[in-house]
Amino acid sequence: MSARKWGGEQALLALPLLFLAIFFYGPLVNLLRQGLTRDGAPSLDFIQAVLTDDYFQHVILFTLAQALLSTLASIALGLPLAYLLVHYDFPLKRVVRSLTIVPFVLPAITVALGFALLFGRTGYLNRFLMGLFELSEPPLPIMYSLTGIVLAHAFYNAPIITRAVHAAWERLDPRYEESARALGASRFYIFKDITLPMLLPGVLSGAALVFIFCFLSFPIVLSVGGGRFSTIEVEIYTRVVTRLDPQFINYKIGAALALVGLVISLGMTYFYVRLQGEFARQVEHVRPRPTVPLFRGVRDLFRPTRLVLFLYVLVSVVLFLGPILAVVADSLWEDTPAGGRWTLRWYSYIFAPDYEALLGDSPLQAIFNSIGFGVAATLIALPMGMVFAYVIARLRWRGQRLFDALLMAPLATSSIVVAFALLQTFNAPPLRLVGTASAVIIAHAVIIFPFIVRALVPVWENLDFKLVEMARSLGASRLRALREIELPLLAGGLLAGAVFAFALSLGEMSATLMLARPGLNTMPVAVYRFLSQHALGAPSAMSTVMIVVSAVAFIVLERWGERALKRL
Amino acid sequence: MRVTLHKITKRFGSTGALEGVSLEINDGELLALVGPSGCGKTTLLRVVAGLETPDSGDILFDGRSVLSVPPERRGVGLVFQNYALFPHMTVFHNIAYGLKFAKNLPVSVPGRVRELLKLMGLEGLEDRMPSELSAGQQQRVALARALAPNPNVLLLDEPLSALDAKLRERLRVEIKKIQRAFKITTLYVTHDQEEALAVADRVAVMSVARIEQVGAPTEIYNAPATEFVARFIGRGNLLQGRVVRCDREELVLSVGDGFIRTRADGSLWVGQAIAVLVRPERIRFDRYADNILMGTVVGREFAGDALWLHIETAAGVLVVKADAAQSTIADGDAVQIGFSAADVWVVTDRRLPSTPSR
Repeated sequence: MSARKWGGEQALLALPLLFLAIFFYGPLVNLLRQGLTRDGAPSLDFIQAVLTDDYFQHVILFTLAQALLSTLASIALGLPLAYLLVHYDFPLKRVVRSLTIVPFVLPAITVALGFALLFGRTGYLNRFLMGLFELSEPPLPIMYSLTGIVLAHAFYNAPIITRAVHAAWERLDPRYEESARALGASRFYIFKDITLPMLLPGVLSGAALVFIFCFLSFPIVLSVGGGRFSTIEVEIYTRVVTRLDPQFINYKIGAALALVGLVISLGMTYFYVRLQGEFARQVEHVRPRPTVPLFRGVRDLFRPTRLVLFLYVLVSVVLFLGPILAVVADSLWEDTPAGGRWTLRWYSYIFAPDYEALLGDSPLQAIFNSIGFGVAATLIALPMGMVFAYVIARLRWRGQRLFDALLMAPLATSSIVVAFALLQTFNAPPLRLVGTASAVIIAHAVIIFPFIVRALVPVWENLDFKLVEMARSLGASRLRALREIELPLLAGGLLAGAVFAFALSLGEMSATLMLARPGLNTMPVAVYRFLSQHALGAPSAMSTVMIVVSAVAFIVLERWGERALKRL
Repeated sequence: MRVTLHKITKRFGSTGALEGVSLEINDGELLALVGPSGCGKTTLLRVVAGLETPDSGDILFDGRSVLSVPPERRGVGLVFQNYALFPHMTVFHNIAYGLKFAKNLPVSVPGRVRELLKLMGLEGLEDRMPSELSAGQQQRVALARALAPNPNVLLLDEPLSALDAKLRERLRVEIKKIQRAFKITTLYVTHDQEEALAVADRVAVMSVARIEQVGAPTEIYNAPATEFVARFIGRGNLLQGRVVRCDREELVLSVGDGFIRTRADGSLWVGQAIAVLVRPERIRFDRYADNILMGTVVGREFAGDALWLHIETAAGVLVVKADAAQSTIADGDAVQIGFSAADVWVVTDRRLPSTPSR
C-alpha cells in the first residue's frame, strides 16, 4: 500500500515472474487461444463441440466422476488413520505419521506398476486366490477397471487426507470438546456438534486438493485404466500424440478440452485456497490431547471398535505396502520354464548402455536423463520458489490474493497441458525448444515450482524476522543478513526443498512423455513404455531404483522437512 | 452445593500434579485457588470437573462421591481462559448449547437464554458469532453459557488472564456480582494473587502439587502460614533472622547487622532460625516505633498513588510504600524508618498438614 512496500525486495520477483510469463502463462494463453479461434477468427465452435458432443461429454463426466469417487475412497481410507494418530499410541506411530508424505515423492507410475503386479489378471493376488480356491479365472478384475483407477488414486491420495485432517485435529483445542462435555453433551453430540464441524475445513481442504490431483491424474488413469478409460488428460494426450492431423483439428479439440479442464480445476483450487485461509485463522495454542495405547492386550481383539481398527490397519498395510513390495519382488524374479528364480538380471539390463527399441535409446540413458533433468529443474525451481515463498511469507500488499491465485494456477494446470502449451508455442524459431532437453527441463521446473513454493512458505514463516532486523541494526547489509542469518537458519528447510524438487522432477511422467523424443526418455517414461508392452522385470528394476531414490528423499524430508511439508 | 476434595493425588508419568490435596468449598462460596504456573491448580479444577480422574482420593458434592459421575452429568459450569466459545455457533446457540441436554427446564430454552443475555448485558448480541465480539463480551458469553443449565458448581480456569489489566479489574467485580446473584459454589483458579484476594471469599494458595494455606484474603495477606505464601502473596519484606531473646513480653531477632522486635511467641527458642514478614505499607518515617532503623534510599519507583522506596538498612534492603506526597525523597537520602512490633509477622513454616482434622 505504501511506497515503501514496493522496495528492492520485490524487484527480486522480476526474474521468476519473467520465467513464468515466458514459459507458463504465455504458452498457456497461446494454447487456450487455439481452442477459442477457428481459421484465425475468434470462435466458440470447438468449445461448443467439446461441450455438446456425446463422446466428449462422456469424457468430461467420467473425469469428474472418477475424481469424485477417488476422493471419497481417499477420505474413507485416510480418515481412520487420522483418527488413529490423534487418539491412540502404537509402535512406529512417528514413522507411520511421516510415511504420509510418501505420495508426494513416490512416482505415480511405480504405483501403477505395483497395482498391475499385485492386482493384475496374473498378479500376485489373483494367482494366490486362484491357487487357494482352485479357480480357473482370476477372481478380482481390478486392473483395467474403474475400481482399479479409484483404488490406485486412493492409495496415492489417502495420506493427503490423513495429513490434512490430522493437522486440523491436532490444532483443535480439546477445551472445546471439554466445554461441551461439561455442558452435558454425550460423546455422540460432542462429535456431531463440535468435533466434526470444526474439522470440516480440514477435511474439505484435503478433499479439494485430492480432487484436483485425481481430476488431473494421468499416469494412473493411463496405466491402471489400460487405455479403456479416457479422461480429459488422456484424451488430450492421445489427440496430441496422433501425428496424422493435417488440419490440426485434434490440436484445436485438445486446446478446447484443456480450457474446460482448467476452468474446473481452477474453480476447485479457488475453493481449496479459501478453505486454507479459513484454516489459518484458528488458534495455534492448544493443550496436547491425551492418547491411549491402541493394543492393550488380547482382550482388545474382542472389542468391536478395536477390532474394526485392527482390520483397517491390516487392509491399509496390504494396500499401501503391497504394491511397493510387489515391485521390489518382481525386480528380483525371473520366470523360467522350470517355474522361476531370483535374479539380478533386470538390474544388469537397465544399467547396460544397450539400445532398446521400445525407448529409442538405452535404459541407462533414461537413468542419466532423469538425474540430469532433475538437477537442472531443481536449480531453476528452487531459487524461484525461494523468492516467491519469501514474498508470500514476509510481504503484505494489496495484490496478495491475486498473486496467490497466479501462483496456484500452475498447480491447477495439468502436466499434460503444460507440456501441450510448450509444444504449441516453442515449435518454431526464435525459440525452437521442442525436441530438446530444455523443453523437458522447463516443463519440470514449471510443474514442480508451485509445490516448492508451498513447501518453503512455512519455512520462511518460521524464521523470526527480528533476527534479520537485529543483524541489520548491527550494521549488516541485506545481502549479508541473508547470507549469515537466514541461509544458515534455513539450511535444513532448503535442503528438504531441494530434495523434494528433485524427487518431484524424477517422478514426473506426463509432460515428459509428451515432450520426450528418442534420447530424452526418463525413468518413468521408460517404465511406462515397458509396461504398455506388458514387459515385466525391467520396469520393476527401474521402479525399484526410483523407490530407493524416493526412500532417500523421504528420509531427508523426515529429518529436515517436517515444517516444509506441513501445509502441502 | 458443598464440594469436598479428600486426599486427591494425581500423577502424570512420574511427576505429581497433586499430592494428597484436601480442600473444602462451602455452599455458595467463591474459593480462589492461586499459585504459580505449573503448581497443579488447573489439574485440581479438571479433577473437580471430571475431566481428569484422580489416581487416589475422593471428590464429594454435598457429601456424596461423584468420582464415578462423568463430566457431562456432574452439573459443573466451566469457563476456560480462552473461553472455548464454539466458533461455528452464534452467541445464542453457544448459550443454549447446554440447555439442549438439560432435563426439567423450568422455562423454555429461548426464555432462559434471554434471561442470561439480559443478566450479562449481552442483549442484542445473540446473533453475533464469537469472532465478532470483544474480549470482554466473549468472557461474558462464556460465563452465560456455563451458568445457563443451572450448574451445581462453577469452575473458572484463569477466566481473566487473556484480558488487559483495566478490563480484568472491571470484569472481576462483575464475576463476583454474578456469583453472588446465583449463590453458586465457585472454584476460581488464577495465578494472579491480587485477583485472588480481590474476588474470593476464601483463598487457597498452592505451591508445587500441595496446598500451603487456606483462609480469608485478609488472613492470607496478614498472617501467611508459610514462607512460600509470604513470598507469593503481596509485596513484602521477608527477612531471615535468628532468635536472640524470647520471653513473655517480646521476641528479639538478629537480622543482618540489626535487631527486630516483635510480639512474644512461646513456641520459639533462642538460636532458632526464622523468617519474619513486614509489609511495606506498615513501615513509616517515624521515630516513635518499636523498631527504628537508619537507612539510605538506594532506589525509588513512582507509581502515581504511591512511592516505593528501597532503603538499605542494617537489617538489609527494605521495600517501603510511602505516600506519593513524600516524593521529595531522592536517591542517596539518609532516612529513619520505623514499624511496630505488632506489624512483624513471624513465619515459621507452619505448613498445613495434608489432611486437616475433620
